[in-house]
Amino acid sequence: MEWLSAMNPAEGLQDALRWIVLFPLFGAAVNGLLGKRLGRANVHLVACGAVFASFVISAIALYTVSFGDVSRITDQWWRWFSIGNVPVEMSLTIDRLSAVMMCVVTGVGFLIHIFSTEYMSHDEGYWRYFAYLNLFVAAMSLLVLGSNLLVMFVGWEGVGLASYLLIGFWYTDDAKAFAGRKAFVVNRVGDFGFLLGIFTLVGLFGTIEFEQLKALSASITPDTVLEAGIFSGWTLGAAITMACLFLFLGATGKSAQLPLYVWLPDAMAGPTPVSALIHAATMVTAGVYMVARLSFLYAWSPTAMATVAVVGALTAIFAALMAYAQNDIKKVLAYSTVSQLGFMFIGVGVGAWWAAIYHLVTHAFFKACLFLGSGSVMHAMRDETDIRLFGGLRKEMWHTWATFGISTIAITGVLPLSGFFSKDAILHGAHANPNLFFPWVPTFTYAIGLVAALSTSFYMWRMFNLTFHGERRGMLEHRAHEGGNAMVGPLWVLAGLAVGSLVWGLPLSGGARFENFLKPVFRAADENIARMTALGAQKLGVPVPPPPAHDFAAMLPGYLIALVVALIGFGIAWYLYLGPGKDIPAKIAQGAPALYRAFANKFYVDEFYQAVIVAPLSATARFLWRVVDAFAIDKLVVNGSAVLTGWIAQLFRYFQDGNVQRYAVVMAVSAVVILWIFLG
Amino acid sequence: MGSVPLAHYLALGSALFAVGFAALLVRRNALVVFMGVELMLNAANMTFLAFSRAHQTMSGQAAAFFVIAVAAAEAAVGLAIMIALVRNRNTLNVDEVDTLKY
Amino acid sequence: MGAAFQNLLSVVTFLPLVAAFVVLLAPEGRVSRGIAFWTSVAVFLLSLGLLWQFDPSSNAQFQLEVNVPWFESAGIGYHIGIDGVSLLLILLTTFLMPIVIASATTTIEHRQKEFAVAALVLETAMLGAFIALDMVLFYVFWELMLVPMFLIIGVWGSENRVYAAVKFFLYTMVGSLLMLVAILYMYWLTGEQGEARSFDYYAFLALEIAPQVQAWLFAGFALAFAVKVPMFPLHTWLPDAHVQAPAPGSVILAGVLLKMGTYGFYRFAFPFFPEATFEYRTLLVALSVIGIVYGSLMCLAQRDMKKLIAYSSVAHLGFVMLGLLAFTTAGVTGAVYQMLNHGVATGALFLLVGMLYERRHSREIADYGGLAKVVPAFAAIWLVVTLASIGLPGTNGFVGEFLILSGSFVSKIPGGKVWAGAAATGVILGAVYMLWLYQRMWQGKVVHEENRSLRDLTFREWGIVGPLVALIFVMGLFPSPFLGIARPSIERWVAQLEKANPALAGDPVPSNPVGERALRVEAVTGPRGAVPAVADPDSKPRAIDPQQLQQGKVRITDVVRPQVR
Repeated sequence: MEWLSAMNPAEGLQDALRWIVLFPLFGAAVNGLLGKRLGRANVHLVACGAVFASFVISAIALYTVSFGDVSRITDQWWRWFSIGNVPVEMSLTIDRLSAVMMCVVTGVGFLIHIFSTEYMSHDEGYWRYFAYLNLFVAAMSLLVLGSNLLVMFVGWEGVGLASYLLIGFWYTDDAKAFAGRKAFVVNRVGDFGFLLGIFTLVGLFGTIEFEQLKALSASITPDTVLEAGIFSGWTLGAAITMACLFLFLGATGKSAQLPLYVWLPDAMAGPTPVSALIHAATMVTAGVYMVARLSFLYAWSPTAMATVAVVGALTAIFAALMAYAQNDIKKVLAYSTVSQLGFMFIGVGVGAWWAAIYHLVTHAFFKACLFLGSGSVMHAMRDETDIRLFGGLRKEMWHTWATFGISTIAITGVLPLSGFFSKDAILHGAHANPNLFFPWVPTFTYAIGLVAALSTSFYMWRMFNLTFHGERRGMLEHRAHEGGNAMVGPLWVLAGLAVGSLVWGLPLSGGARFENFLKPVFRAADENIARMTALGAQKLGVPVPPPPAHDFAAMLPGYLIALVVALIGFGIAWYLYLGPGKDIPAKIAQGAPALYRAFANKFYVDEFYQAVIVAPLSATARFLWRVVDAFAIDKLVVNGSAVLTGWIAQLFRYFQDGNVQRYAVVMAVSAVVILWIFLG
Repeated sequence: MGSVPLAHYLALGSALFAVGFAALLVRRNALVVFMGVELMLNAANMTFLAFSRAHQTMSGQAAAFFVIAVAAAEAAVGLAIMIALVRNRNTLNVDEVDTLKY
Repeated sequence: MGAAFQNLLSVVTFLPLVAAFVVLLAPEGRVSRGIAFWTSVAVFLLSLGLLWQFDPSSNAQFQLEVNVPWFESAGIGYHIGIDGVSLLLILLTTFLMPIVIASATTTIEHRQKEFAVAALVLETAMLGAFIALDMVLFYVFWELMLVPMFLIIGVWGSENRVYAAVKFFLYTMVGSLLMLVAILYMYWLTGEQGEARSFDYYAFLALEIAPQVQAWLFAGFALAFAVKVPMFPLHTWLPDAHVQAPAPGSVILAGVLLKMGTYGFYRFAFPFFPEATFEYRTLLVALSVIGIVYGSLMCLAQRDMKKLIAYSSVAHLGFVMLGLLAFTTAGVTGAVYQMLNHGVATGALFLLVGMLYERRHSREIADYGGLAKVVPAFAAIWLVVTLASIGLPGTNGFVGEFLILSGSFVSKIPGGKVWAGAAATGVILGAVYMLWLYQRMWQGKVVHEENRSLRDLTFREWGIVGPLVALIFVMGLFPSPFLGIARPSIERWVAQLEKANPALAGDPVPSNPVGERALRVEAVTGPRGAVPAVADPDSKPRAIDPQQLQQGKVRITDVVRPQVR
């Protein structure tokens, strides 16, 4: 603990940062290799201890960058390799943004580890489970802490691997193994974009370090026509847009945005705590984090920003609609996650960086709580996930009901809880931040965002009412029981955080606390946006729009609208599922069966992908193999040339019939003829 | 001493060679074919010696010794093959041992 | 001893051949196996001595050179030498051989002694091809490789072995003969242009050849090497050979033999004929990218796991060719690294397949399924190797693939961005087929009763795959020691081609370069206004004492572009 007592905490932290990654990595190694022999208690101790150790370091780091003398600490680990002349350092950096992320990852991760000790108590593969979970925390730490794009990419793929392993945790079930594979492959499509984005930046700037890119981005003029390198002839703005869009493709994969969101609902095949940690709280927010990390670059590309915002908005509404008719408690939460991630992308897409990160944090709390709550319900109900069979669980599971309710209030954006402030900060940013280049984007994203918020409120209350209120509709003989302390404790902590994190979002004097807290991180981005706006205004011949106000007075109308919207959603859900309109949903399903089926079948997107991408690909593969490879190349050309040689040889072989005397005759006659010619 | 003219030797050699070659071509018994080959070798020997004598050089004599040595080796190997043939195939008919085709 | 030390390269190369004769005389069984194994271990240890003798920072093109006249009248010499790239490939070969010979103990069921002889002769041939700097010497070793490999496939292969062996032999032979013709023509040219005809590498390198002639000669060389790589569409011998070859044979074939083709391009075809190279580069790039995508698609349609891995080799070697053809330091470095990676990862895969085959005597994927429940350790190792094969960061495959793709993306290949982008889809497809294979074999339920009683990895098998798995991680996390050996050679190589045509080869410049002005790190201000900065990314960052800063004793320095070595 020498590094702690060092005079300058930053000095010690430089070498301590790596331990945030190493502790869980060692935990994973120990549990993965020896877990079977260690025994349950030791496995729990190793896994939880490792994550807790990471959490402690992260918390110290957060404290240091918040209140200490430094706002950024770098741990230079080793030089990994170099891309030609571009060095790739294995180095970790923590600033306020990554410190917040780290605390969320390790903090929520720790709670979920605790929850898992009881949740997985009946599973024989528990040691494997905890090894994977620790592996995930290590990879996620690397993703967050990476000081350059490539270290981030290591974490990026590492969390993908952990996700693959955990979704397919019960691999003997083919459907679950398939879900894991699907997640990995879809993410790989995103990673393909991420890679091309990195290459673009390498070709453009010759560096992948965030700090160097940030420093460079201050002096960009987008209209410059580049003269050297692979982008000669392009404008700088176009090249940056290309980089940003490729990187955003990576984000759509990891953060389950259109068009690559399809893996996330299937990812619910994994154990529920995994869904809480990976597929709700942390990993899926990596895309948002990445865009926020590179905000200074996105700032220079209005096209990329608009794309991010619009894709986010469309995902938010699309996923919310799909959540309407889901009856699987985890699927509802999965679509809800996709939808909320869409909100975050609206945030980073309109330049409300801090709001997106704030929503990321609050979402991590309440969505983790919701997922763990659903896990608690499943644990009590023999792993049943169909909310049509539940009902009235409030009486049997008070703690779960209470924490689930708090988190539902938070996610639906009802006034005093954190979700209200975070979501509204995004919506405020969406309609208040000026956009000279795509004037319709603010209106569009704001409108869609409101509808999505309304939908969120509706489907969340629908699920809540169906699960906890009314009368039990199925499994009547089964008596649910609340889990032990290890399950209830984390639920209450998370619910408390979902409430408590509201203090960061209160619009006090000069903006929210969280906004001021992250200001140094996003200063470069904000300045770049201002520069870009100034350039655009000059080009368009319009005055530079003033920066939006975000004090309480400016926020108030938005607050009221959002609150009304949330309450309307709540009202509809109450009316349709608890109140007098109980039979209306069934009537709708009967009256418009096609519509209902479309909702229930998630608008046939999976089927569409199957028909348009997967099936043609495998058909092409079979065709290429059977026709091109086996027949055209191998049979016709390769073996064909051999056969041709054979045919020619067939002709000549008649001259060799094995009768030596006949050879001798030929020889003799030939000799006579030759002699005759030459002598005669 | 009155010497026999060169042409006589050559005629004898040619005749011997023709006889041997005929045996080689028309007979089906491997042993007889083999004898034909021996005849041809000795016809060549005869010619070598005749020219050697006529030109008063020794190289023809040396060549003849070579041929005799080769013929001896051939006889050894050939007869061995024939014994093997008889043992394996129970035949000396060359038409029946034409596996060296196709 | 001293002489052996000075001629370590020759000792390493010919020791296996000597051992092969000894094994031939030794009795069948433990003794011959032991001699073969311990010789290959000794060769590996000796080749580590090469590492010690080799000086990466040297400016010489080749090191440890030996050049003695052999058939002086014909201009043939015993000329050997290595650069960083061939050193790495030598180490790969000597590292794989003990593993191959050890694995043969159980996978080869009859005539083990003869197998050991073949393997040892093959080792000499492969090492010889990597060190030869005389074209006749190279050609002799190049063709010598065929004979033992032909026997390994033809004698110890599976049901269709003779067909596969003959196909392998003829296919590679036809290509090589055209190379021989080209070599002879160039030999004649050395007489025209110099004082004496010579087969020496330097003499060939110094030739000035008219472009049209170059095209033909290049075609001769390229065909020989492209068959060996194998590049699309000359690849169809590979699946047959792999499927029929015994597991150790497949390991050598995939691990080292395929690298002969890419090494040939690197050492001979490109440097000899720069103009023809640039002329036909786009074609070769296209074939490489097609190979990547096509090979991956082939994998999606396979039912035989060895065939699947064979086609995946086509894709992987497509990456290697693309990296070489980028003619950038990053691309070529990546290509060389990927050669090693492929040897390690695919070698390990073939070993594992061999171990499975020993247990179940089937290569059909459908005969497996759900095995992870039965043999968990086996499944875990397979998964690690799979991840290396699809290039997950942290494993060696990632470093190679990333360098190749980035190196070709930023290269001066016409349309390099598009080619690299198309090649990058191979990254997606790789995950598709390898994980599908994993699911079909290891996940799900056990469907065949006979699979329930499979044995997990034995101690000996751990010893065989363990080093490879360790290397996967070591090479993935710490590639610099490996790349550092080859880097100066590669830089020289790229510079050579850049000199030939600066518009088409050489390292890229950033379009919007990192100038010193731009890199002035902005003062990072905390709430209390202290300004420590990460100053020099090359060294450990140091925090700056705020007091000293205020007193003007310390200034925040500009971040200059780190120097890369």
